[in-house]
Amino acid sequence: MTALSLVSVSKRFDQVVAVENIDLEVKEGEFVSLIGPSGCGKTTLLRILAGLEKQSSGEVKIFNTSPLRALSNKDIGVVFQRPALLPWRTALGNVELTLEITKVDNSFSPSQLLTEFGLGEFLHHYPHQLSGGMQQRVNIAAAMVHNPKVLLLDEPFGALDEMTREDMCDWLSRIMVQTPKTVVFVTHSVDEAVFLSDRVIILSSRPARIHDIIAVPFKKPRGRLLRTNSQFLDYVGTARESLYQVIGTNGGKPCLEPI
Amino acid sequence: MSRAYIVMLISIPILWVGFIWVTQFPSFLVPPPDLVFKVLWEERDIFLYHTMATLGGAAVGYIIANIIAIGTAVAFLYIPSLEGFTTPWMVVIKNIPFVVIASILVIILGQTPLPKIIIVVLITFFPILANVLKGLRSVDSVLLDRMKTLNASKWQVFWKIRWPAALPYYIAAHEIALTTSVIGAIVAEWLFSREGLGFLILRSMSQYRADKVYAITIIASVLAVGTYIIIKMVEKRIFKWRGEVQ
Repeated sequence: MTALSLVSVSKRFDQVVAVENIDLEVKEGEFVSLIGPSGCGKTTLLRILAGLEKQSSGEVKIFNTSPLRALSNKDIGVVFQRPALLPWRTALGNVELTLEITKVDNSFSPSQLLTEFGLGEFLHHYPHQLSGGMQQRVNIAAAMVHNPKVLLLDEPFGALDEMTREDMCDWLSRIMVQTPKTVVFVTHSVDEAVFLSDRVIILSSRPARIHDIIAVPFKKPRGRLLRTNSQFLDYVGTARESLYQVIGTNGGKPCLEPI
Repeated sequence: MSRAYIVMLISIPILWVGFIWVTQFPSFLVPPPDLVFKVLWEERDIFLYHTMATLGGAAVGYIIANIIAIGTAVAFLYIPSLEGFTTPWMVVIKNIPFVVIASILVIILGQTPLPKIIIVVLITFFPILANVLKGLRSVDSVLLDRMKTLNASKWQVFWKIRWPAALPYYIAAHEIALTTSVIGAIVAEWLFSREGLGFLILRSMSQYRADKVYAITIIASVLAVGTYIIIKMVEKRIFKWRGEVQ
């Protein structure tokens, strides 16, 4: 079943065209990454899906309704780049806030979810007492505790160091197998995109158009050792090559022979 | 913090006696501490009566100021055009010397507690309004986005996000405005009232009773420090999460 569909979606801010003519279908349960140069409009595209921006033209459907309708059906969970946590609420309180507002029935238990996310000992800690990785995990828990069908993530690991990032990727990959969801994941890391996704979508810069789509067929959940697998590295290479077609090779020649 | 208060409590009488010893002022100009505490004790009923009159006026005015200020802040938050429209009025009201306003009020309202209450409202209203409004607007935009994606109602956004975010600002406003409310009441009484500490200051001065004026100074200081400490304690209690930052 088609979960998300975009038909010739464009977005203009005054004179600037941020997103142009995007056609995309995402199947239910599929994990799709959007990758592109910074400022290319990928966050705008995500915000359109999240109902936070309205497209200037084209059609956006989420499970056959508009994003705003999907929001009121509590079908969308959004993870923002910066943790959207209330400093005066504990980790548990912040996750519970989502339920206080959405009041859905088929939700996860907040404390159980946080425990599964490896934060069992930190339920009653305030955000400032948690590390960046932990804050982002609370943030993700808060975005999916009401069990939405669609999860939209905007560079959730962008502010983390490389080690924590890898941990978080492995972890997210496992979580998405336990509780399958349709996911759109905005990132600027090629490795991250290939590691997590069923399809990697490479966007061109300003305005964002779909430049290339790369399907990654490894089965999930994917362990960290996949990153050392040569086939995986081929996909990363292909994706990176395609990205370089967008941002240019900076004058460098391909270096294929060892020194 | 408590140690600093103890140091102050011990220093004041020492400085006071030392000042008299150095300047050799006679006791009807600068009365020594024992004389002041004596009159404070002997006429405690009178002092208590007038202190309560001042506190009563300050409290009523302060409560009214809080209600109007919070109401105005919320109105400004949701109807931004209202703020632009009322700003010139606010600037004018804020900058007329309140002695003038007080005189006008006394002419109209006469010897009632109303002018005092209105003066207290006028001088405490603006700091509360400014702080609460700033607090309500201090909310991180990412939190508002999150609320939107959860399809939260305006009501929910206000009670769960905006109001808690404004609370620290609101408490900070009390730090300034609550002590100001007592000063406002005293000055209002000084201008026209027949009761309260301000009236007592005026009467003691005209009778050349420096000891009584000093006694009132002590009462006013205790009130100021008392309200300050109470607010600090409330602040500490409400913002446990903030204290844990250190």
